Amino acid sequence: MILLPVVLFAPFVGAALTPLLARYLGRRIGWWAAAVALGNTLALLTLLPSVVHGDTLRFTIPWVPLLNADLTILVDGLSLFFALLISFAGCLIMAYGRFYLDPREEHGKFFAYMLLFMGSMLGVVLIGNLIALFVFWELTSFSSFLLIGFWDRREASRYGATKALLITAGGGMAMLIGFILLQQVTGSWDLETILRQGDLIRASSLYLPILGLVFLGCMTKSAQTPFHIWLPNAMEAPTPVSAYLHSATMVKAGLYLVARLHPALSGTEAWLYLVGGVGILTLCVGGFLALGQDDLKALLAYSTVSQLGLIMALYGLGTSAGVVAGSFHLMNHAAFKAGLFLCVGMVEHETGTRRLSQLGGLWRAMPWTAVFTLVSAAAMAGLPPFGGFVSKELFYGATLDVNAGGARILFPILAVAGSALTFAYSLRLVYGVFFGRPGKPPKHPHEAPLGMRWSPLILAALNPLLGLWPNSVGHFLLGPMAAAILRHGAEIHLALWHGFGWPLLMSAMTIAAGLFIYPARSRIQHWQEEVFSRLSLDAIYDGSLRVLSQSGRGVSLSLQSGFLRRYLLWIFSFLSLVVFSTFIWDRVSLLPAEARSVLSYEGILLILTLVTSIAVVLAPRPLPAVILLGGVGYLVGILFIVLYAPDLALTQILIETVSLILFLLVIYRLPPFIPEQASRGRLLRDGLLATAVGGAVAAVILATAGQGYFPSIAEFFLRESVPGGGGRNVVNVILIDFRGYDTLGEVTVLAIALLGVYTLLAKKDTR
Amino acid sequence: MSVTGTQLDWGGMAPFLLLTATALGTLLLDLFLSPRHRVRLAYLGLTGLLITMALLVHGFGGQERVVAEMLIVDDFSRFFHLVFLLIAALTILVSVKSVEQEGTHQGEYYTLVLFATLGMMVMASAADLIMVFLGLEALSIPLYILSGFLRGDVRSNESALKYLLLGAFASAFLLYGIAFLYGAVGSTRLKSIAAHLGHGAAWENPLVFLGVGLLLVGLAFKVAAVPFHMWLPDVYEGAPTPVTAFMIAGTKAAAFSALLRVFGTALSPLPPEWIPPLWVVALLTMGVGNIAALTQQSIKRMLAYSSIAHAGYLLVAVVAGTSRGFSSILFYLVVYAFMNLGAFAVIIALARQGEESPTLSSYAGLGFRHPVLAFSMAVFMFSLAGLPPTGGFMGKFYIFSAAVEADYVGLVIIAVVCSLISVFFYLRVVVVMYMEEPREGHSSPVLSPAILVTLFLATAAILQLGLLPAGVWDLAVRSVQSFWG
Repeated sequence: MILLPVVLFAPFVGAALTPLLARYLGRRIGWWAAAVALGNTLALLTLLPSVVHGDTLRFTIPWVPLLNADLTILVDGLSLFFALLISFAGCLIMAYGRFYLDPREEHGKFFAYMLLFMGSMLGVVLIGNLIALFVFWELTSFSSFLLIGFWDRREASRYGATKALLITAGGGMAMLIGFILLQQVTGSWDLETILRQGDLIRASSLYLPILGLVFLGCMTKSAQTPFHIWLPNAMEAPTPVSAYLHSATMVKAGLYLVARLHPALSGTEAWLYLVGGVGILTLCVGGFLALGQDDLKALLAYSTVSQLGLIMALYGLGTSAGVVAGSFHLMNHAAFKAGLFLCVGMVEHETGTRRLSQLGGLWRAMPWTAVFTLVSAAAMAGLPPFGGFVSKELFYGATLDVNAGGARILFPILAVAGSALTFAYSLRLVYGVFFGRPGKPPKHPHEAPLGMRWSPLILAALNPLLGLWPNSVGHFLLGPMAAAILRHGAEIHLALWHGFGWPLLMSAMTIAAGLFIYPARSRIQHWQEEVFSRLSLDAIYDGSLRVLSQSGRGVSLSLQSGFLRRYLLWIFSFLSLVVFSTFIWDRVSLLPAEARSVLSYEGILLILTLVTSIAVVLAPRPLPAVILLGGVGYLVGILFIVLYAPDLALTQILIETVSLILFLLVIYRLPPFIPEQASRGRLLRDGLLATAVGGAVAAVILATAGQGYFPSIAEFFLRESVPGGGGRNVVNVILIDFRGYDTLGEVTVLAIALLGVYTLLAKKDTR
Repeated sequence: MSVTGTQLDWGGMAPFLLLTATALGTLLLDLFLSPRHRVRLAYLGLTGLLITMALLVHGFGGQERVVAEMLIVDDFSRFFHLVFLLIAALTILVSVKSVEQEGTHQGEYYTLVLFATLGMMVMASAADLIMVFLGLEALSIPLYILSGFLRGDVRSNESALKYLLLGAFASAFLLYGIAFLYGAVGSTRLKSIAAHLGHGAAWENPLVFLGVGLLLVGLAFKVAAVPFHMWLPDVYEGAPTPVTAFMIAGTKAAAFSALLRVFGTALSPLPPEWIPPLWVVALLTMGVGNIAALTQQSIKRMLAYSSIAHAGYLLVAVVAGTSRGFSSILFYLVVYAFMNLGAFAVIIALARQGEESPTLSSYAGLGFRHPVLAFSMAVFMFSLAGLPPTGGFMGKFYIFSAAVEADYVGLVIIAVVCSLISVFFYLRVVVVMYMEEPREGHSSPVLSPAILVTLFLATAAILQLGLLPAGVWDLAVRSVQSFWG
C-alpha cells in the first residue's frame, strides 16, 4: 500500500513547496493548498471500500530497530474517518481562507503553516506507533502555535499562541510518560500490539498512572475543564485557523486518542469517572461560559469546549452505545461547528466586528449567511431534522444505560442541563446576529463574496443529510469506525425518529429549560464578567508563570551573586554536610583503635599551636596574620620532628619559609589593606563554616588513621637499587634510573620556564 | 614488578600522537607566518583533526588496545574521541572570524584548542585514575588561558580567574579522592579498583567512602552538577564566545566520558546507598539549571544555565546505571554538541565587535532580517527544548526510557517537568526572533563560509538525529558494550 505513505507525507511536501510556489502564484497559492488537501481526500476515499469491508491496511517503515520501533501507518475505520475529516475540512477551509485573508498578508506563509499542520494531524491519526504518534502530536502543537500567532504583531496573538503551546505541550509531556509506562507494561510501542493486551494493562499496578497521564494529554489537547482556558485565547487566530484547528481537527486529537486507546484502557470505574466525569463536567462548564460571551468567536470557542466534553463523556461511558453515539456526534460536530466558524468569519469579514452587542438584524443584508448559520445552529442545538438531533437522542439513551452508583442519576441530569445550555447559546447566536434590533457595526454589511460562501454551504448541507439519512453514514463511516474502536462489530440503528420514550422526553425538557435560561443571558454575562475576571483559571495560569520567572530570578540572585567567596561558602557547606552525614549515617567510629597517652612536651606543642591559630583569627591586619600563620606551620614542623618524621618536617619547614617570604613580598607591594567591618551575623556564619570544615577534616583524619596500609614501596627500591640501577645511593638511582623519564621531563619544564622568565626579563629591559 | 622494557603500543597511541603533532605544528608554523596568512593555522589544525578522525573511523569496531596499562583505546573511547575531534573542528571553524577580529595570538589559540582536545581524549581513554587527572588538567589548563584570551576585556579576565580558582578546587578534590582510594585499595588502576571493590565488604571502609565521594565531587565540578556549578555561568558568559562554545560542548562530553569510565569500570556495581545522593544531585541540577535560565537576558548566560540543566538530564541516565542508560548519554552528547555549537555559531555570526554577551532583545526580528540564521537557531532551540522532530527529543527520549526501565519513574517525571519549564525560555528566543519587530540599527550580517558550513552541519545533524536516529544510536550501544556488559 504505497498510497499510505504518500497520503501521509504529501502535505509536508506540499508545505515545503508552498513558499517557493507562492512566488509565482501569489495570492492564488490558496488554491494550491486546497488542491493538495483535495488530492489527499480523494486518495483516502479510494481506501474506503476495503475498510468498509473490514480490512485494516498497514504500511511499515523500519525506523529505530534497536527500540523495536517501526513507523507503521495504520488505516482502519477510526483512522480513516479522522483522516478524511482532516483532509476534507482542510480542503474546504483552505479554499475559504484564500478569500478571507487580506490581499496584503503573507499568503505563502499562512498556507505553508496550514499544510504543515494538516500533515502533522494526519500523522497523529494514521501512525500506529506510540513514539511516532507523540512526535506528530507535538508537531500539531507546534504548527498550531505558528498558526495562532500568525498575526504576530499583535500582543494578544502572541499571548494566545504561547498559552496554547505551553498547555498542550505540557499535557503532551505527561502523555509521553504515560506512553513509556504503557510500553513497560506491554513491552511494545506498536499500537495494535498494545490494544490486544487490554486485560494485562487493566490488571497492572501501573494502570491508574497510565490512564491519568495519557488522559491528561488528551484533556489539554481537547480543551477539557480545567484546561479549557487556552482555547478562548487561541481565538486570536485568523478565523479559518479557528475553524480548522479549534473545531474540526486539532481539538479532536484528544478524542481520537481516547477512542484509539478505548480497547486498552476502558471498561473500568476509573475510566468512567475520569473520562466520563471530566467530559460531562466540561459540557456544562463550557455551555455556561458560552452563554455569557459577547465575542462571537469566544462563544463558539466555549461551545466547542462544551461539545467536545459531550463526546468525551460518551466515550467515557465505555459502552458500545456510548462509542457509537460519540462517534456520530463527532461527525455532526465537525459539520456544524466548522460551518458556524466560517459563518462567523463571513460576518466579521463583512461587518468588521464580532461583538454581539454591535450586531443584530443582519438577515436582510446577509441572507445566505443567515440561512447557513440557522441550519448549523439548529443542528448544534439538537433540533430535528438535523444530525445533531439524532446524536443527542443517542446521547440521552447512552447516559440512561449507565449503571454505576451515583453516575446513574447524575449523568442524565447533567446531560440535560448541558444540552439546555447548548440550546440557549445557539439561540443567542442566531437571534443576536441576524434578528432583533439592527446593530451598529463598523462596516456597512452586505453579503460575503461568492467564493467564500461555497465552503459553509457544503458544510451546512451536511447537517440535514446526516439527520435524514443517518444509516448510509452509519454503513460507510460510523460502522467501521465503531468497529475499530470497540475491536468488534457494533450494531448500529440510526434513525431520526426513535419513538416515544425517555430520550424524547429529555429532548423536550432540554428545549423547555433552554427557553427558560435564554432570557437570563445578559444577567449571566454580567455575572460572569464580574466574578470571573477576578477569580479564574486564567489567573492561575498567569500567576504560575509569574511565580516561575520570579523564582528563577530568586535562584539566580541568591546562588549566583558573582562573588567567589559566596560560591566557596556553598561548596564548603555542602562538603562538610556530606562528610558529617556519611559519618553519622554509617556510624563510623572516630576513636582510633589503639591510642597512647600524650607526652608532656607534645601537649605543650599542641597547646602552643592552638593558641597561635586562634591568634591568626584575631589578628587585626594581614601582615601579623601571615606571620602568625607561618608560626603555626613551624610548630607543626617541630611536631613532625618530635614524632620521628624528619623528612616531613624538612618539607614542612621549607614550604613554610618559602610561602611566608612570598606572602610578605606580595603584601609589601600591595596597597594598604583595611579589613571591612563585618557584621556580627557574617562573622558568626564564617565562624560556623570554618568550624564545620575543620571538624570535617579532623573527622576524616581520625576515621582514616589506623586503617590497614599496603607495603611501602621503599622496600622495593632498597632491594632493587644495586641489581636494577647499579648504584648504592638509592635517591640518585631513583632520580636518574627508575624515574629517568620523569626527571628528563622535569628538567625540560624547568628549562622552558627559565627561557620564559629570561624572555620576560629581557623584554622589560628593552622597554 | 618489571620496570624496564614495557613495549609501547604505538598503533594505539597513533591518534594521540597525531593530534600532538598537529598542535605542535600550529605552534611552530605560527612563528613563520606573516599575520595576514595566519588563517592557515586553522587549516592546518582542521587537517590534523580530519586525519585523526579518519584514523579513528577506520579503527572503529577494531580490537581493544591498551597502552602501558594507562590508556585504553576501545570503541567507547573511539566514539568519544570522534565527538571531541568533531567539537574541536567545529570550534575552529567558528573561531576563525572572531580570532581574526581580536587580531592577537592566533597560533596560540588553535594550539590551545588542540591541546585541550588531547586532554579530553586522554580522559575518555583513561585506564587509570592518574590518567583521568592528567587528562583533566591537560584539558583545563588550556581552557583557563583561553577563557582569559580577551586580555583587554575585564569580564574575560574575571572569567579566567574564577575558572582557575574554582578549577583548582575541583582538581584538589579529585586528587584527594584518588589519594584516599589509593590508600584503601592500593592501586589507581580502574580495573584493580573494581576487583577490590567487587566484594561489597570493601565499601564499608570509610577511606573508600571518602575517596569515592571526593572523586565524584571532583567530577561533579567538571560536569557542573549542582551545587558545584557556581563557576559555570560566570566563566561561560565572560569567556570569548567560541571558547564558550568549545567548553560547553567539549568539557561536558569529556567530563561525562571520564565519569562513565569511572562508574562503568571502577565503581561497578555501585552499592544502592550511593543512588539517593546521585538522585538528589540530578534533581537539583535539572531544577536549578532550568529555573535560573528562565530569567536570563543574556543569551550566552541562558545557554550556560541550560548546559547545567542538560548535565542534570544526563545524570538521570547515570542514576539509571544500565547499559541502555549509558548509551543514551553517548547519543545525547552527540546531539548536545551539535545543538550548542550551532547555537553559538549563530551568536558568533551576529556578534558585533566589542559586544561579547549579546542580550535576547538584539535578536528581535531576526526571522525577517536573516531567515537562514533564524531558522537554524529555531532548530537548535527546539532541539535544546527536546521537542520533536529534533535530535534533542530523541536524546531525551532515550534517557527517559532508560530511566523508566530502571524503575526511576519519579525522577523521570521531575525531568519531564523540568524540560517543560525549559520550553519556556528556549521558545522565548524563537518568539523574539519571529514575532518581534526588528530594532533599528541592526544590519543583517554577512555570513562567512566557515559559519555557514557549521550551521549546515549542525542543522542537518540535528534533524538527522531526530528523524533517523538508528545509526548513531547503534554506534552508541556498541561503544558502551565494548567496555561494559
